Amino acid sequence: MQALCYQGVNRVGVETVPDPELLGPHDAILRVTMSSVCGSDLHLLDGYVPTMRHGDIIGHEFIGEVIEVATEVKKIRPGMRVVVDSIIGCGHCFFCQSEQYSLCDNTNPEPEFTDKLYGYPTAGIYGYSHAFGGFAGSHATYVRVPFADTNAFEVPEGLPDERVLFASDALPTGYMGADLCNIQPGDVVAVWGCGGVGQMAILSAYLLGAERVIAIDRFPERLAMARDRAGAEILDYEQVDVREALREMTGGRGPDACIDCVGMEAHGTGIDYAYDRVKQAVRLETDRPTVLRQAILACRKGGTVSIMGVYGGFVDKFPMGAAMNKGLTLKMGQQHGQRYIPRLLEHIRKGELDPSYLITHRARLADGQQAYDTFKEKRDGCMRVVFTPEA
Amino acid sequence: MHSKTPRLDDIHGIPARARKMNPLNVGPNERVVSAALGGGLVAWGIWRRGALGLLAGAVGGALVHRGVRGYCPAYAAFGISSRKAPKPTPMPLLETEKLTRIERTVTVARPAAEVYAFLRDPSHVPHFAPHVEGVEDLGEGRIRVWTVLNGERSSWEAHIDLDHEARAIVLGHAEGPPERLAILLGDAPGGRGTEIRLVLELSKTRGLLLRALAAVAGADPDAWAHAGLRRLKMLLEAGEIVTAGVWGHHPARPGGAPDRQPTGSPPAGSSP
Ligand SMILES: NC(=O)c1ccc[n+]([C@@H]2O[C@H](COP(=O)([O-])OP(=O)(O)OC[C@H]3O[C@@H](n4cnc5c(N)ncnc54)[C@H](O)[C@@H]3O)[C@@H](O)[C@H]2O)c1
Ligand SMILES: [Zn+2]
Ligand SMILES: [Zn+2]
Repeated sequence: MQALCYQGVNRVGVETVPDPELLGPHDAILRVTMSSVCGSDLHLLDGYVPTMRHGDIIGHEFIGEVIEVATEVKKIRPGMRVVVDSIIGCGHCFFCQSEQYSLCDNTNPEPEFTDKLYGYPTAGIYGYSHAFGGFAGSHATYVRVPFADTNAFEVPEGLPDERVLFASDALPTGYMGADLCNIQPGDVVAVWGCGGVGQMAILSAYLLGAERVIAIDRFPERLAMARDRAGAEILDYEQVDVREALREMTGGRGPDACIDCVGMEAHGTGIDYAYDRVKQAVRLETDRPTVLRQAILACRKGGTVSIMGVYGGFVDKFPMGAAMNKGLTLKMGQQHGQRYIPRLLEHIRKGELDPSYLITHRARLADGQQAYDTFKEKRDGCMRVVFTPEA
Repeated sequence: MHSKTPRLDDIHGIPARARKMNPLNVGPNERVVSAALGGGLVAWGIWRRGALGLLAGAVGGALVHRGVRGYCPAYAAFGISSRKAPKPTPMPLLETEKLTRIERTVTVARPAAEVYAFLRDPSHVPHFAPHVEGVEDLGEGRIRVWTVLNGERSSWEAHIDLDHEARAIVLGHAEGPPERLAILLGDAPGGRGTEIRLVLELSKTRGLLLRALAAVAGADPDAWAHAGLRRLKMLLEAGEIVTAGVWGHHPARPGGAPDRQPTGSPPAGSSP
């Protein structure tokens, strides 16, 4: 089959690879009908996540048709259209049982790396480096889905792929970001980053009862989408002092909750940004916490900072004093999508959520390099590029 | 100085012979009470004399016996026990034996009885223990373990000691230094399942067990133990050992154990 593979820092290309096979008794094989780029891929491609190897198939946000299931798969049947969570759960360990699927004990076949770096290994993720299991990604004609009954969800009849695709990753991530904020009536929520994840966080915060959502980014098209499609008030961090603006917009209180939907490669304007770039370039720190620092300082006393943007290693100048003395609650994690997907599909079915506006570009796998370049540079109003893999 | 091999019994503080003959079924507190009460009855019987004294002496004697031995035939007849399986405590290590001890623990979200039943079936071992191809039950508490490394097959013989009550499995061997491989099960708190502890006591002077392990573990028994427990947990919880497979132009995962699903047929002569 054809697959889009990592070929070095910011280099991808289509390769012909063997078709996936059923390897475990709970596996399913899908024919991928749509597979999206995600901000997380950029961290991999930019070389900030080690353990990527030449030839690794990338992609983790996908939807497809089941063509084959192994003996122990009960719920998922061939012919079903399913959306699959980007992070793999086994469904049976302590963490899966408590709906913290991304912490699964049993789905990372290469746990040594995260065991050392994080203290304990975390779950496997499709196309997301060998530290996260070395699973083949979804930018391919076919993809193998382990523990299909836990990780694949049947698409309700009548819903097109476009509306459901992001229930794989961006939507549950944004939803979890808002869910972790424990939103109360009257709450003002600030969301950093208006990419796919940020957009979904805005919509979700409203669904969960936020009074107002303020979205922060610098790309005009993205800010416009946050305003027009998701209903947020918007701030361009290149035009205003974000902390000042947030304080003024919230009657001097500060946002009740802040959601970081940017992560380790935040862009910035000040001297601290230059400092982080240099330190990251020489690997004295691995992640640039520009947004994280800002969110902690901007958040009201006793508020919640929810971190959905991905961090991989170490950050510098973390404002621990502010977090501690203001009594903040910090919540974070890779998404536990399996917990949310059923209710999200229900919202989509009822027309209460429609993430399909994230699709600004479509491409063939063969145009993968160009697609990722456009996405990385946010050229041409690009929000998300969706591949329709060729047979 | 005369040194004694630490035995499984020392781990749990159970007198060996008593357990071998009859399993313990009286809890520690009850044993003290039983022995004390029995002692009192015997003393009273001696003082009282006569038929009643004789009876008191007999009953008291039985109670003392029950307390000291920790075995109650009446309990056994009704299949009850007032004794909880003890929590495994660290094994004493005798300096003079020049043993290296490696301990690894994993928690599995399954009940201890189920874990124990799975582990005591030798045919399950190759499914999770890296490089172990088969385990042959030779009877009378002896087994033969077949290992395969780089296509080369070898085997070694060991004693196996199963303690159903304490849910412990201990391997050792007759000749050479007193090396052991023990699997001890304990309940994890709050219904979190079972804590499985793997203890390896290996002779620094290269006893048989270490040599066998070195052969299969690439001289890194700790990594072997770690990988084995992880695979065991996957098998018990998720019902399979997950693999990313071999795809693209990756040869196979580097360094680690080759991914092997439990399909290999055991060597000829091994128990099914
Ligand atoms: N936790 C999870 O499970 C999970 C899942 C998916 C994605 N993610 C992470 O979420 C983050 C966003 O993903 P995405 O797909 O939306 O990425 P994206 O690249 O499309 O969007 C990131 C946005 O952040 C903006 N940004 C950069 N610096 C900023 C700053 N200082 N202030 C405000 N905005 C800033 C960028 O302009 C961009 O619009 C990534 O870190 C990704 O890895 C996490
Ligand atoms: Zn993603
Ligand atoms: Zn799990």
